[in-house]
Amino acid sequence: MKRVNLGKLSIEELLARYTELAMAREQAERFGRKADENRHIEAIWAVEAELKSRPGDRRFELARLLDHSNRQVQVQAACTVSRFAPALARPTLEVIVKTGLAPYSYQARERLMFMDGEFSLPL
Amino acid sequence: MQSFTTQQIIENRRAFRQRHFALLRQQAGDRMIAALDRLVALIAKGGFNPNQPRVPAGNPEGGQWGDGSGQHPDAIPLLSDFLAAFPDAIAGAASGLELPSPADGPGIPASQPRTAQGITAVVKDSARWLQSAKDTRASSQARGFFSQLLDTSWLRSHMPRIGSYLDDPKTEQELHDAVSRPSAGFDIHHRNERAAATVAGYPSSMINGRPNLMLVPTLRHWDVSGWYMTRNSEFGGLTPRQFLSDKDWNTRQAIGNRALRLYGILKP
Repeated sequence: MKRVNLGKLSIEELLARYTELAMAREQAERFGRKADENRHIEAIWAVEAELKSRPGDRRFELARLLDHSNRQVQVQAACTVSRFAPALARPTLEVIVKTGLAPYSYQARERLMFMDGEFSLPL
Repeated sequence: MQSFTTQQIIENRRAFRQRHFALLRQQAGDRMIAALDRLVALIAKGGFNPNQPRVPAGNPEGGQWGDGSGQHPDAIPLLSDFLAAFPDAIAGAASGLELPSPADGPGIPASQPRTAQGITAVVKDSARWLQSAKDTRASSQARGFFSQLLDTSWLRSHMPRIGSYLDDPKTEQELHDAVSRPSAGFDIHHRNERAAATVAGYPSSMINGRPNLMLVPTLRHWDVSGWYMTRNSEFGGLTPRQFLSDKDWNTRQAIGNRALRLYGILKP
């Protein structure tokens, strides 16, 4: 995927890039291309960091993706939004778990397990 | 003592090999049929409910917040402003979600994909879709898709993996006990990852000891292995494998158990 200067992108362009990266991650996972998947994840985190750095912390714009037609985009956004607005993201995560459709259901379940203290890490 | 000519010895060995391979083929066939029977039973057990519950659809415009162009900096809401608007936002966000439509099963190519990755993707898609159909009680759709799978000749050898994916979670004891009864569609899983534990200097007796071994569905085994290798914000941006590299045996085991629960292998 092409390198871009995130600092020069508008919010809409950042969301479009986020969506594109989440869908690229989905395909990498399907085909078991782990290095590609990890690279897309890093790029997704870079977009999140850029949104956070904008005045007012614009990560909340990701909530607009909670009803996106692509499930990887949905779950990716829901996992991020859950970190600062858990009540907003929870319904999306719970529905994705109910669908039982992997890998999205795994990602949603893992986030919920951490939110609910069922999966904690040693210090 | 009876003596044999070279030709007789060759013939005897050939006959032995033929019997041996015929037996192996028979056993492989039996295992596949058993896996298919299990799959059919699961599908039948699911029960089809035409009134299956769905998240109600609502206002498609809900949850939308401006165009985000950033042209009016004064109008940019702060995070705290946004959080105050939760009730509407929650309703809007949930409105676009529906359980999957099982009629949209994954596409099955008529001919076998050229690469192993392509084959794996189709097998994974099929198993995952069937699991979703099971969870959403869409049995009749699952039956239709199952027929489609059986009609696809190149997929037949992968059916044990697809069938085992639909196994219900097991107790720790059941997973341990099953190690002595390996079967097609299942792998032996090292709860504390074998390669990582070896690198960390743990003895083979611990790594390959029975308490560390479990028999798990192959595709779920791959999912868990993939999880260990994927960068994860829950683990400070590391992969779980990297995170565990300096952790003790018990911590590795505890995380390993949680991963097995997460992937629907170990009962909660």
